[in-house]
Amino acid sequence: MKLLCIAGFLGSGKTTVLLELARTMTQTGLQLAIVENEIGDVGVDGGYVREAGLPVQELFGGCICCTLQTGLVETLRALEAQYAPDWVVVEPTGLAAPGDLMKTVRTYMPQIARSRVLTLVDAGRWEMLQQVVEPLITAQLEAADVIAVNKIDQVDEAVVARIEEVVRRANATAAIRRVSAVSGSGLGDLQGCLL
Amino acid sequence: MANEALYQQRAERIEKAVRCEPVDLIPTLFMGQAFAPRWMGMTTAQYCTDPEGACAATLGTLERLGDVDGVNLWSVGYHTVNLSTQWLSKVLMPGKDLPDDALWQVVERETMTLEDYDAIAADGWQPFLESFLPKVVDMEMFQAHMGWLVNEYPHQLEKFKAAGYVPVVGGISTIPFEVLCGGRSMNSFFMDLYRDPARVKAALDAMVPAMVENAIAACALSGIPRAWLGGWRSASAMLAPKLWDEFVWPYYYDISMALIEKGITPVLHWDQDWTRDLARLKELPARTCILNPDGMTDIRKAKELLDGHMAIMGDLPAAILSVGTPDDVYAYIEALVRDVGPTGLILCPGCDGPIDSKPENFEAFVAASREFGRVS
Ligand SMILES: Nc1nc2c(ncn2[C@@H]2O[C@H](COP(=O)(O)OP(=O)(O)OP(=O)(O)O)[C@@H](O)[C@H]2O)c(=O)[nH]1
Ligand SMILES: [Mg+2]
Repeated sequence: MKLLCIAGFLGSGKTTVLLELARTMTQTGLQLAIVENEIGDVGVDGGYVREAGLPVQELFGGCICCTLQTGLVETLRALEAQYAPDWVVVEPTGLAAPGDLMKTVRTYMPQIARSRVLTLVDAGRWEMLQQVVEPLITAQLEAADVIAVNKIDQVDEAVVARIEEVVRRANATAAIRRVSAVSGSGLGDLQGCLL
Repeated sequence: MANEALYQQRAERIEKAVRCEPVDLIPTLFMGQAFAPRWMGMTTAQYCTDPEGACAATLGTLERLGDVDGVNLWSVGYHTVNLSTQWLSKVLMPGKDLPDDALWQVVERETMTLEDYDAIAADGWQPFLESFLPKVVDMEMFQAHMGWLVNEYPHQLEKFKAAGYVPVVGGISTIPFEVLCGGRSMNSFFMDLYRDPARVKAALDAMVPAMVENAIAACALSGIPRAWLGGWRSASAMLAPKLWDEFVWPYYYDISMALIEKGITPVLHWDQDWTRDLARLKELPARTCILNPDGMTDIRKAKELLDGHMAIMGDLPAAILSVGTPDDVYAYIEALVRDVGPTGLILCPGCDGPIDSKPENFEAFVAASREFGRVS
């Protein structure tokens, strides 16, 4: 079983990306299971995921503090036992630092063959997020294997370039891609460098 | 030893730790608000609607664990009412909105409007709270909760004392940031801080006097001179330093000082990582507070900065309790005592022992704490 974690601040487009990746990954014949942080306004419980009958587990994070990490381990163990999927795609709450989450998972589930962290950047709200929650955003960037600057349809080229500069300073090695998840632009390439 | 003497001995041990004085045994506390009913065979549904039962489950857990000095935060009154008032949020209840034995769930939704900031600033916190609460709490349950606190809570506390266990916190509070962040929901609150910080600040400032008063009243009612001051949304790992310095720290400072002035020890129950700002705690008077981190803050850094200045309570990580093994627990406690003890340390689960903690891990926590916590 392999693990893909889709991190990013609240509303950065995690579910939108997850749904699209789930569709294309399934089409290439991979068995998928999904773990969602909580049923938000825009959940995964409709559309393609339901049609394809993919197993979806909810992770309750009424208090993100501590229950989240251990809840994830238990959930992953259960999914592995019941479905043995090729990949589990996890969307933690937008307040999670994926580094801590992955550390816990790697400690307690050493059998996971490969784990990847995709961090989404909300280009439309970049300035606000930098001013207010910079430490959290930076932690999300640092933990990433791949970083997608999302919502590029909302900002102009110069802004995207500036965001990429800061992103690169936070993480020297991650692949950086530009996407617009609502239109699907850039997602094919993203999947290529993720899996 | 008779329970009364045992209680005295344990209470003194805790007080000595707070004053960073030598102890015979490092004080050890239980905390596991959802674990207690699970272990005692009570559903979470009953735990949330039967306050006497909830107390009995907590006390039963202490007795089953045996040699612990007392309990950090536990469910006092109707549990979900506490959560709703603390975060201005609806809470999904087991047995009603969720299965009988599910974990209660705080609903992260915007319940408070922008105009509510102005109402709080104009009229103060208490009037606003009273008009607002019906939006998030079943008011019948709220009335029952308030009645229980006045009429029944003191009797329940006596039972803990009679059994020899020290209830560590008498009142629950936090800073205004945490409350309004819950009510507005994180996304909107952070946006508000960006767009109109003055408007937010006016509301936060107006909340302080009533919040302090409520915490003092709760401590007076319980007769316990320690108050839980929680925080996680306002953690250093979350917020930019400039905002933390303006919207978080001054409030912890002012509320702590107001409590200290009344002889109350604030228990700074800080979930998430607060390492960046630990040095600010030196601004508080020496040996008057307890720092209670959850395993994310660098507790060794805290010891280095606060040694002799502030007691540290913690921080067995929740993950070890639920998915680790007794050996993991032993290793963690041994290292913790070596690096952070023996003075000014109180051993306790970080955050809250989760609902699915393994009982053998809790038992190992107590055994390890007593083994490594004995000061020769
Ligand atoms: N303009 C634009 N909007 C987008 C894009 N991607 C996502 N959105 C919108 O952003 C909003 C949030 O998207 P979600 O996919 O729900 O984001 P999320 O990160 O899962 O949100 P939470 O789970 O609430 O943290 C939705 O209204 C999406 O339609 C994008 O590329 N461009
Ligand atoms: Mg989502």
